[in-house]
Amino acid sequence: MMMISMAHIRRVLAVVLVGFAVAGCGYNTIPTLEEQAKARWGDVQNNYQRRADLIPNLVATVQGFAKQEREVLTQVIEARAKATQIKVDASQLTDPAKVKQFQDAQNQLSGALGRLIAVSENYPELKSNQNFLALQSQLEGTENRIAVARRDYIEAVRLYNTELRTFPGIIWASTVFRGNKPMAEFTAAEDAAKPPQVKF
Amino acid sequence: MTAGRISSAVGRRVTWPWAIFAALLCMFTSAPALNFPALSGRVVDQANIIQPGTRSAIEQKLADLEAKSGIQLVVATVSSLEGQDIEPYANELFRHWQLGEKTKNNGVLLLVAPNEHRVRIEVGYGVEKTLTDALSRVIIVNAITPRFKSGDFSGGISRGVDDIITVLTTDASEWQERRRCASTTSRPAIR
Repeated sequence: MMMISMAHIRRVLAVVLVGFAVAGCGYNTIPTLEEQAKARWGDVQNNYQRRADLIPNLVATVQGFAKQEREVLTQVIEARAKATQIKVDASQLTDPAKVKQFQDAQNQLSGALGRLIAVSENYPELKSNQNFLALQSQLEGTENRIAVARRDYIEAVRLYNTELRTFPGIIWASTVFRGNKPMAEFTAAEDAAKPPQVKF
Repeated sequence: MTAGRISSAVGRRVTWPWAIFAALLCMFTSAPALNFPALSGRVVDQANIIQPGTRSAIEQKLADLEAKSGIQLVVATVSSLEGQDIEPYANELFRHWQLGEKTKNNGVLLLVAPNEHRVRIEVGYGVEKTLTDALSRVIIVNAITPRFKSGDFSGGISRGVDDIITVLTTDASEWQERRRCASTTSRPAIR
């Protein structure tokens, strides 16, 4: 009786030790980094959505003072509609074409917004309108948050992709996590035309 | 005792390869890209533009704010942004210093870069709805920049801190009431 239970104990102990060794050798790393990258992507989408949410108010305000700038206003409205239609689910992050599609739509919106802000410079009453100024600073703040979120996402993806390709992650990647593909990165950032910065 | 002598000899023999390995590892681990000043206190005046009397007054206000609300407001002046724009610099400095309580994310950084002529208020996520982008801009444009332009850095920073504290400690409903009274432009319906 005693001998059987000793062997049993040894087996259980062996399983537990192997479990710890496996965890220590980075079995958890790939899923953890993957979740972090997906979370950072969530932040990116949230901030782009935040920008999209500001636009109706902005368009309405500019229309109040510069109704004749119909072309620029229409461009912004259409670019916004297109950008909000394209959503990239976390599971689609391994598809570079989808991410590029998203990025292109957002860049188009950035361009249209830049033109709208530039055009607003020609209307002194609009430029000094309190509502417009508040919206402008909200827009600046959101663009900044987008930039921060993009940087964080790029870094998270870099860590994840590197883990998939380097030792010891590559061992796990070619066995247990064979289905994990590298995530798409952003191409070079296109900054929206920045409103004049406040200097002293 | 013999065993002790042997083991210490063994210890000496195998330590130095690890020391070299550790040294190499230190060489190749990435150092922070920017030279941030240390978080030596609530006012970090690296650019040396704040008068001593003003400085201690500000420090007291910041300490009171944290005691009352938990919000960690830090004032920093830097002699150089090291080629960066102030927005990413402020964001990285804020994260490097880990301002605010982690769970509430209620840190605020007032950053002044006198040599690049830039000011920025960097706000943690927890305080964003109170100290909004619009309000930050109003504070910078009205309270800080005019005083800076006339060379009064101490006054500008002091007044900026006062305004930030006012925004952070005034009840939200009171602000909305003030905004409703002040607003004269009617906004068309948002579609």
